Amino acid sequence: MNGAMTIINFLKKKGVNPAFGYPGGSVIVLYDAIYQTQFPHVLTRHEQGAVHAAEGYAKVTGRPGVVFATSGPGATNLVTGIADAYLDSVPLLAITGAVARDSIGKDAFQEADITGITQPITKYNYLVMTPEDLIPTLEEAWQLTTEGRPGPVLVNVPKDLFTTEIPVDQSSGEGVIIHRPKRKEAVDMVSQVFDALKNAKQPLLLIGGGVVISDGACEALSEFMSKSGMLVATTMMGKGAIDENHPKYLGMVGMHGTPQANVAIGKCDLLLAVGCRFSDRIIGNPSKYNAYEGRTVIHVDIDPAEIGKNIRPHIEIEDDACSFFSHMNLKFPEDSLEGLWTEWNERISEKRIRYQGIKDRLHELDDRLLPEAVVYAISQAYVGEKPILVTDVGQQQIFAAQHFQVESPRSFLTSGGLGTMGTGLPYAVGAAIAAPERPVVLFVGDGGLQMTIQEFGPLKSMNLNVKVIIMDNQQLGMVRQWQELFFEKRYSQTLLENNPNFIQIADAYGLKGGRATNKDELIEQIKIMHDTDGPYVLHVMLDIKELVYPMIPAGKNPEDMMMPGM
Amino acid sequence: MKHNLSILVENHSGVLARVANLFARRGFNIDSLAVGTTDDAKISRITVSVIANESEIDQVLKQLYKLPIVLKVKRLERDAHISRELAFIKVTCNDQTRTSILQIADIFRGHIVDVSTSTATIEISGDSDKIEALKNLIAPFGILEMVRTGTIAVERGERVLSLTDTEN
Repeated sequence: MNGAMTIINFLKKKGVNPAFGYPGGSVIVLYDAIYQTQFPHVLTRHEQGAVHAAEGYAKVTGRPGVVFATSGPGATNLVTGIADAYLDSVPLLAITGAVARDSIGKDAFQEADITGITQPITKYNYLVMTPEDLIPTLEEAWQLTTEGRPGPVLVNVPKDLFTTEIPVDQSSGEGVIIHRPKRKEAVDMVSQVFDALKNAKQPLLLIGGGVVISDGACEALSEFMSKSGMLVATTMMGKGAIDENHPKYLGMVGMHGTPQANVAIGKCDLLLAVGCRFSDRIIGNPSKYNAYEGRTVIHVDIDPAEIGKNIRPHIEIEDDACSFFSHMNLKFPEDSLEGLWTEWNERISEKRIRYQGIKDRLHELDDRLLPEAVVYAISQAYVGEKPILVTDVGQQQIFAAQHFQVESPRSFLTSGGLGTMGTGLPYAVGAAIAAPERPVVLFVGDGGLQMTIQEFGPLKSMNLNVKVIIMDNQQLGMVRQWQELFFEKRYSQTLLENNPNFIQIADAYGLKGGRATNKDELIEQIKIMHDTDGPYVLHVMLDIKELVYPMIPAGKNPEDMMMPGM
Repeated sequence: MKHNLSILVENHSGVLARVANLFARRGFNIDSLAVGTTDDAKISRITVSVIANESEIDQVLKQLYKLPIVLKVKRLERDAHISRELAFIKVTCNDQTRTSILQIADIFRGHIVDVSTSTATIEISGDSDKIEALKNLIAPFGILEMVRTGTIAVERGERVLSLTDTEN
């Protein structure tokens, strides 16, 4: 069997259905194998679309997303998506063609050293140079995508290997056995955590994306919350790990988090952080946070290198979130510790009630079409339908995270770490393929949409159930917001006054759509969108002045939060 | 503060680049680096001197362990290991200065490994400070060129760097 068939066979055995990609010269033999075996493959309209779609698929399913691209420009077009997957811990297997082995290093046509380029943004990557190595490399790469903390892995295969006969796997077993330092596992540490909790007066549980992607962790967390009675906040990536209506849930923490969550993270005397990495969007000023001595920080993460990287913990636990909560649940007695924390819990809950009042007023829809109200109105149409909420990056991302509740884990797809504009539409393509029975609701700005608008193509050709809501404020809103607040309204290159007619573009792709410029039109459009099977493009002309609040300016502390009305 | 790390890695192409890139990308400051094979041809050993504080060195170790090609990392305790560099110093000399240069090299247990009518090349091994000291003494004669390796290091006594021991 040749290299191309070997790869396709391998992916079939792993249950890959489908792969995403874009053909080209170096991978033409691979695409021939796809054709001959009728291997399921989604053709996006750009390699960047393919890699983000594979990410969207992986974010929903937890299984590795697989993407193919040709050598040179095909491979370099994957780079943004690979970096995106790296920062958001998305399992991704990228298989790229390279120039033939005897041309490597000669600056051959469409040659780019993609192994070198992607080294710092992959968990690991490979350039396969012998037929014997192909199968063992694929096997190792596949395992690596989901082992421990998930992430992207790239396998670069020279063109001539696709046509070369590949020996049946005869991996010699000569590999060196790797010994890692013994982990500080949850099983050995839960007593310490429990004792720390008993001594705490103002504890907070912080949940990150690691909980969302750990199998069984959300169920174990739910039990832990009932048992402990702790207040809980999530990072943006942790959204969906908890029932958003849970009485102990404070919402999202960080730059655009809720007042109650940010006050709690600033004032708590014990922070139990699970599956998060304390990025600068969560703790703007880590040295100040570290310097405060009245707080015990417990950090649980499957990746030991995240522990102590930004915030110095007092108790370190190198374990999977599910394992941690399961062990804590075994340790916890029947009666919760909540009685110890009544005063604190009530104090924070007051903030929560006050902010909910502000939110309720923001949710009142009127003809201005404030983004908060638009997002909320759309969310109400999908209550109880287990929607998958997808965002692009920018203001609409934060409004969606704040005002659209999701009902299950792996249901909020957003580019959190890399903050990649243009991810929304292709993520939604991958999500709709992963879960055809669920509605996929995408919020995308007029800026971000134009970065990957070509992915309207697969929406139409595969009739994917994606509702594209264009949150149009005719500007690059988030950057404009910073310019308004911190650069004396010098709106440098952020005003998009010559946007195309998005509905005509949708129409040209054969997609149904409509526009809302006031309250009544929006209500009508939401109904039409909801009743439409398959894709729909809803173009919402927003109030262009609205800013994202609350906001903690970059590098500042939780107490520096800006929130009109609070 | 300077720390010496011993790293066992799989011996194939590109491994050194991966380790060096990791240091560069994470902003760790390499003072010196040396690499060579071990008694097992499948395994190479890298010795890195890195300037870092406690929490940075902790990060270095953890980040290194995330590379699949890294088999074992050990931080060598101060005073519990021997470290050496090797250097060649080519210095200007003539009939008047040759003896002095030879004597200085002798004091440092260096050897003259090459001479010409106007040059002498000293080979010297030792820790960084010793090589630095010799360099400073030789400098007035006129150093034409100098080349030195990175530090290599091994623990004292019965402690050995082995793949199987799980202490860090």
